[in-house]
Amino acid sequence: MAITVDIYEDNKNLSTSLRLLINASNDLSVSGAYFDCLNILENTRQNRPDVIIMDINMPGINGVDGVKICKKVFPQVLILMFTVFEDDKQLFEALCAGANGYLLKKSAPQKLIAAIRDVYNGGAPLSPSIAKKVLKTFDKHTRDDSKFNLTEREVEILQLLSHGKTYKNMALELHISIDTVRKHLQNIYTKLHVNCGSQAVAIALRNNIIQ
Amino acid sequence: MRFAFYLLFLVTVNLLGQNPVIYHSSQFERLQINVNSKIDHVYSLAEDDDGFLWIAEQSGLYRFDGDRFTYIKLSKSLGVVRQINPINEDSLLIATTHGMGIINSKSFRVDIHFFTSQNEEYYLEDNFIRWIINGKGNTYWIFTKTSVHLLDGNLKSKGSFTFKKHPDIQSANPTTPICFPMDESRIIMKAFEGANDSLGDIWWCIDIRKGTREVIDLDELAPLEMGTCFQVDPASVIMVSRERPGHPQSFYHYAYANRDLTKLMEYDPSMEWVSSKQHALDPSATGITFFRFKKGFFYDTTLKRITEEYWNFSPYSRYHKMKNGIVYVGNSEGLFRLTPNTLTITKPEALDNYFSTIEFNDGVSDFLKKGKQLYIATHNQHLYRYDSLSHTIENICMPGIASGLVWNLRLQDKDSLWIGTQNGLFVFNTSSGAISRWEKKGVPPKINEVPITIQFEDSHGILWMGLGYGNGLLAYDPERAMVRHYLYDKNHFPLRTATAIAEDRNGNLWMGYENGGGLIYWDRNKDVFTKIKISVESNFTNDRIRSLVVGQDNSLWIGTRHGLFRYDTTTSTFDEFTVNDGLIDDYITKLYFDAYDRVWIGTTNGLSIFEPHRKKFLNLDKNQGLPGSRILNIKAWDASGKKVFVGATNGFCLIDVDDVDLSQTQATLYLEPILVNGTAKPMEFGQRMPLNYKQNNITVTFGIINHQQGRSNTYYYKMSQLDTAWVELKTKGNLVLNGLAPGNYQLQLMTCINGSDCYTEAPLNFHIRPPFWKSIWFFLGMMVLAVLVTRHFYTLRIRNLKKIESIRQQISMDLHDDIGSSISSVRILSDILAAENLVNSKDIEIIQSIREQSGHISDVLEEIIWNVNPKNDTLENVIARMQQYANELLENAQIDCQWNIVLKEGNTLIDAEKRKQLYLFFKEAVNNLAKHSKCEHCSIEISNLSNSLSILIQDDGIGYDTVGNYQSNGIDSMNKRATQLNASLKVLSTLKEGTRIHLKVPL
Repeated sequence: MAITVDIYEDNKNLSTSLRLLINASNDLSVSGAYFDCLNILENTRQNRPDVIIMDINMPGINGVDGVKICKKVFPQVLILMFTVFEDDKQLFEALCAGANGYLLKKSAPQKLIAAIRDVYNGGAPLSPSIAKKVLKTFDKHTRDDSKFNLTEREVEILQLLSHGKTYKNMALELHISIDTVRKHLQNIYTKLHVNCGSQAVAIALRNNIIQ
Repeated sequence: MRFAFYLLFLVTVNLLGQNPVIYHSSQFERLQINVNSKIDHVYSLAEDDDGFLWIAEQSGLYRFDGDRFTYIKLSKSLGVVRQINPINEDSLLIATTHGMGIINSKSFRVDIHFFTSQNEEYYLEDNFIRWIINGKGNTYWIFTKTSVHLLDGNLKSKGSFTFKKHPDIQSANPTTPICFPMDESRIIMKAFEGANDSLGDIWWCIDIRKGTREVIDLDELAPLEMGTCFQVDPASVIMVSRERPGHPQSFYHYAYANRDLTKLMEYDPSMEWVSSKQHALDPSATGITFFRFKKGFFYDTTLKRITEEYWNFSPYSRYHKMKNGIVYVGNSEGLFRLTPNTLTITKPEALDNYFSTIEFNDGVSDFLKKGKQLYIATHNQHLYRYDSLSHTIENICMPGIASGLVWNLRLQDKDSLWIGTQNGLFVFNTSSGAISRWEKKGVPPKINEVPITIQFEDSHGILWMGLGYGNGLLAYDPERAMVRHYLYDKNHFPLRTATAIAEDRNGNLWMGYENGGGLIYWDRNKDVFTKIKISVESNFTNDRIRSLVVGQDNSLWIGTRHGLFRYDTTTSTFDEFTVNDGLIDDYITKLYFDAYDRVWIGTTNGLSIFEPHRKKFLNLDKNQGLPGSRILNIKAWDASGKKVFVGATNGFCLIDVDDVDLSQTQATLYLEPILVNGTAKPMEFGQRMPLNYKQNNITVTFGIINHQQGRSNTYYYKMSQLDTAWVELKTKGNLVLNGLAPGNYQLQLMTCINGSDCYTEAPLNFHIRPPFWKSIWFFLGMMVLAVLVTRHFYTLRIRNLKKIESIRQQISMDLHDDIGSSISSVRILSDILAAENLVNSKDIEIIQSIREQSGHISDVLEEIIWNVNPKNDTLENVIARMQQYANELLENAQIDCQWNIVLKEGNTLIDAEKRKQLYLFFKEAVNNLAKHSKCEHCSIEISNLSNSLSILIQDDGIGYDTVGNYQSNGIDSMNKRATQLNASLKVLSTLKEGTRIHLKVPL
């Protein structure tokens, strides 16, 4: 049985081309082509597509919101983002909205066909540069851990500080003297370039040093 | 018109006993109340608790402080005020032609009371008040033209009685009643004249509660036929009986309370009576009632005596004696003030009879007492001797004195009286009566020709005599019978003659001459005359010395023609006193020190008594009773010093030293309500009055209660911001400040009595708030508003810019999407076409070309998008892109690449130009590597640890010849870019080994 695909694309030429491309493959068929997401729920209910190819920049409701709306009612429908935009904001919004894949329009047409098959089979197709971007995010997080060069003890103290413990409490918990606690905090402040405890906690949280 | 009248009282008989003859002089002046009318018609006078005089005058009600009249505005419905009675410390009762009112003496508020219902069209006769008398228990008996009312303390009526037009009141204008309140509801009054068609004295008893009138008999009065009757106070009257045979006309005093009738005195029948129309006037509780016949009599209720007096006042005068003794008289001619002199100026007993016959045309210059005889030197050649035993007076003539003036007298010894005259010295033998000249060896003959200016006996018994016309000084020592004559000598005796001599504590003498020559000091021990050196800076301005006295502190007081000086002998400094300090006149004739250490200064224009400690002058002239204003001599009358002899141009008098009181009079300034833009606002000294900027026209009226010397008041003000010294107010106590600018004003007021006694109070503070648009709050508010508005506009602009930016971004995005999508579409179509096996090889080429070119367009588009995005202005993003580009390219060329990227913390911004150059350089390098190097491995190192970016690209390819002149386009352009980046570029290439490109870009 053929994989049914709905196309949401406001560029009429491209929409036609896509239709031709997808229909050229034997295992794929286009169940619907629309220029906006306004009636996405109705469309989806009617067509019951396996995969939706979703452009981001569309009049009225943009693609990402379309993903949100559709995924709410039809979570099983696989949605592939198909867009020119590779900036972080669009990317992560789309991913957070629940997109199953993200493809750039500049990539080769064959890649799109492959991606449809891929996502149908349970994959998560991403254009290479997109994949890199995603990975970079994680890279940032882990890399930032060493950004400040905090020692284990210092991280411990920051953690306790973020829980609102007093110096005395911290000293008791860590089995060290209050003076030592103070000394550690001084070092923390210097490393994080801050002046007080609350600033230190804020930076630590922001950079995922502590939870 | 200024009347300068003398009032002389002569007490002839009194109930207590013989009293010495007292001349009681008073100063008398007319005071103009209403400036608009020539004559003021005064109806009533009263004094309030503060000491103000209230005057009911034809033109209205006035309050007088001794200098200033304040017009009290009353409502028109009250009519003309006819009588004023003080009720308590705050209020006065005013009786008018239209009713009664109680006026608050401080606020001038009036509570009005009418007897009958008021009709403002016309007044009812019943409201015309003729008389008010205080009844028993704080009640008032009010007599109107036709009725009598009893009012309680709140002016509530307790009853009334109306007289019948006929026969009770015969005339249109019933006379002012004579009455005594009997008790709380009854009053006894003498029937109106002509009532009941009968002569004689009829007395009515009016019961206000019952509303009845009865005739009563006052038995004790029956024997007398009363003529005129004068009310003294609510309880007593003075009656004058008619003359009947055997009963001479007499004055009686009758007090109703105890029915006491006392005969006061018999009246001299030769005195004229005018008619019975004279009336008692204003029986106030102040103690004086004046009444007048043609001659006029004065009954002093405190002394309970009748005295005689002569004056020119019209009948119906109102009198009021103030608490301090000053008497005000008001009548149809105006307001007059009599200032009694508190000084007791007397003439020696029984002398006056004689002296009145003597013409004192030229005044009394000296006197001398010898036993029972009194010698009096006058200026009209005569020396009088008065014998107190025989009460005779004798004129001692000095022969040959044509125009002789007797200057001084001195008792040389038991019998010999030395008389200094204009024509020399005479010796009068008191026992024989012989007059001779002084014969003595060594005495210059001029002594019989020239005026003897002074005869001064010093403590050593030496007699010093000044010989006039520059004939020097004679010193006669009777003990040693030595005579010395000092004539003018510049070095030894620098005076031509001495007019004044005084002796100090050390026995040395001070001398001076009235025509100058300096101040001379005679040292007794050395017998040397020294002229005192006077520095130019000192106050001693003239040496026309008329008199010298030495004070208790051994300082010398100098009386000159141009003022009084005090010379401190220890410090050699002078203090000057002139009219500016309060002295009555600068031309001093004589100085004298009394027992209270006060300097008596006789001048040509009066007498000043000066207290040096308090720097106060008491000034007297002939208006106060001195016998003439030109003072000729001041001496102690006797050894006790209790009386001082003052000889003046019209005689002499004795002044009791104890009477002279220079103590400070207590006075305080008072302030009338302030007028702000015409509205009265009460204010106190030291208060602060806030006003708004429109209320900037302020009129301040102030004054001081001073009935004694009120005419000499001077008024001053000082505004703290504008004046440094006191400014004199030409308008008495009336300060008009118009158009004041907003701000704080501190106004100080001062009134001076007699030039030297000044009184001031705490200043008045006015705070004129600026209009709100000038106030600090407004200004601050505007500042805040300006800031907020600016911020708002700024925010709006930012928002606008943001909006424009977002629109631009949206347009950019749309364009990107449109073009990108279209290109994608072209590629897809060409792909589809290529996939169709139907296409022949030639077409495949075309399709391939389409694919390539559309791919290129797509790349370029991406590039543009990437470049335009400002987010990509960071080094990190550039490097990321470079990485991306290199990876794609190298992957396609199947070259394995090792990356090593070490970047500093943070985002380093890089400007667009640099970014472009850098990126293009990198592209070139990588392109070269991918296309020409034919390598399999390469490594790219990027770092920016120092302040520069370092890019190292290495490959193990074939390399190229760097030495030779072979410069491919690639290397050339790389160099160019490096230059543009200000960077250093090192290219190392070894054939068959590889290429190494190192770029260092400063950031």
